[in-house]
Amino acid sequence: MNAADIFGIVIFVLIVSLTMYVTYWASKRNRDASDFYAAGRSLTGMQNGFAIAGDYLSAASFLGIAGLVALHGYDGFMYAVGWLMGYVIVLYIVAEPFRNSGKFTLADVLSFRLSQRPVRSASAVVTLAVTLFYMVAQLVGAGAIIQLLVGIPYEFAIIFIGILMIIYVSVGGMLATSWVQIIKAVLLMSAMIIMILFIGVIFNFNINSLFGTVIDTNGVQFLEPGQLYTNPIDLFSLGMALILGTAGLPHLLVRFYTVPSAQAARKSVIWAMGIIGIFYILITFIGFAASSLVGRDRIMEVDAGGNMAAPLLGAYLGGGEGTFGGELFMSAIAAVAFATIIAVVAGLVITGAGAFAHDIYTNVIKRGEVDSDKQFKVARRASLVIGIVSILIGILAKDMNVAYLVVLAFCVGASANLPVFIFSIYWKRFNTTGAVASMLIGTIAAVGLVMIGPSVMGDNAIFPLANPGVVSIPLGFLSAIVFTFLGKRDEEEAKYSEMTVRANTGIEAE
Amino acid sequence: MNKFDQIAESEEFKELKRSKNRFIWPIAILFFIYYLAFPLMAGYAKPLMSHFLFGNITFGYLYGLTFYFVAWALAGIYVVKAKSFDKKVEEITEKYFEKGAS
Repeated sequence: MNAADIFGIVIFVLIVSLTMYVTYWASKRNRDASDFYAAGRSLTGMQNGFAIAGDYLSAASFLGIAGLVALHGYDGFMYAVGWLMGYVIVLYIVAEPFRNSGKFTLADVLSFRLSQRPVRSASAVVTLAVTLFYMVAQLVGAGAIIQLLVGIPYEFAIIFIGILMIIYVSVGGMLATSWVQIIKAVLLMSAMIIMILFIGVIFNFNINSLFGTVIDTNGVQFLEPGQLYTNPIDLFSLGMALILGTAGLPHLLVRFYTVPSAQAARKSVIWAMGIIGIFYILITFIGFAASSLVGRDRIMEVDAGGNMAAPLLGAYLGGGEGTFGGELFMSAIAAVAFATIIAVVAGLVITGAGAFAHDIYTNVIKRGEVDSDKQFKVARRASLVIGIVSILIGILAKDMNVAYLVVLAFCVGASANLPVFIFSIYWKRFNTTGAVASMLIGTIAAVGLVMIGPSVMGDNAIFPLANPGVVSIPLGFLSAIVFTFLGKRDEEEAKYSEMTVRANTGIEAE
Repeated sequence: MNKFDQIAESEEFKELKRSKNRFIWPIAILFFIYYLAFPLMAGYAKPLMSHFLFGNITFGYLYGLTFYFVAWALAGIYVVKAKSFDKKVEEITEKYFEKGAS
């Protein structure tokens, strides 16, 4: 073992100890259900903005998009753009009314003025589905990446990450989860900025000269669209899922409950948009720099999917692969990638636990008649169960191609959650039949079309697009409208006045 | 009639909702269309997207960057506008809620 490896292990141990200390600190403030799900609503807008960024920027973004740009040039850049766009919809349409009308989960908002049990059950199922897709994608990616970066076996990596996420969530609740995400966001952004400074020095901080080198090494067509995406409709469909799906991701939305007011929720989106936007602009520079400095051949030699582009660029910037500086840089990046993964999976576990314990157990099975002590206990146990199940699924999914699952999560969010949210808040006539139909049809359409599409069936695909959004999203909205008119009016329709007043004013918001 | 109905029926609240809706929906929908033009441009306007504007910088790259800046600008506009809504909300809650609750 050389000095660079030891340095890598030291950073790694530091990250784990820091997050464990935070968890210990948070555990003393983790006393009831409101602490567990919503960090006692104690975060500031800025803290929550960092936590949202930490929740959102996955290893797939950091390593995957750098790789896409490094291998496919402009198309990778185009792909990166979509990830910030959904936040405009989150800010304008969703964040404040969401914060004002719910308590712990997405289903709190969706079932507020509709018939509790059917809507809550449907919403919990959708939340669990989205969380599961996202989780499997994260874990399988994480296991493979850690295997590649650190050299420990896949199963061991998954179990290790799984145990950490269970400890953060079940001991420290949302407060610990939030701070793990904040720490990760700071680490990830720092690592990126250091890399960008090194790249800047090489190219004299001149974008023109970076692109000049890119053209010299990869040819002029590398800066033209069409290297990766040959079907514009598929890309359009992906774009639709990204811009509308962000506002339908349960693990992101529940973050708004951790701040005390709609104003703080607004502030957190602003902070998140700043960090996330800068991240996606910078990550494309890393990709372009890797394509010319490391070279596409070398990147594909190490990993055909391009996931090693950023670490290899790090090694180059540190002095080259095999040198002390290069190994040092690579170890640091591996540690940051690891922190990235645990922050995202912890956020998913707590969201899944909420859907299970707060929605299904407390409100559907027990009809809300559970004392707060019991609620807290059930929530912690649910996080343990969800964590263990995730580890098992992660191990079983080894070697499966799961890259499409993240986009599927966005697609279900846009097709099943967003229509119900928008109509609940903005359309008085909307009713239970419309909500349940939209959630079921939106989810089934998105999942079904992926199952019969090229991601799963390859060349024999029945549905031609890899991204089902262009069909499933309009279908989700349409079925909400059509089934509202087919179903009978809700007895709770009077509650619309209460919801619209709460959503718009924050009166009596918890 | 309970407090919520009372507020929901009030002119001030209806006006607040109207002005909010007039602000959020047109911007959200225009932004949605603006962004979705991007993949279509990449597919059907390849020569323009690949056109070099300054040195080695293509139209397509700058066009892609505009999305970040437009998104940030819209965030700024929202913050300013939301403050005026906050004021109206405060007036409404003072008039109908806190006074009535006591």
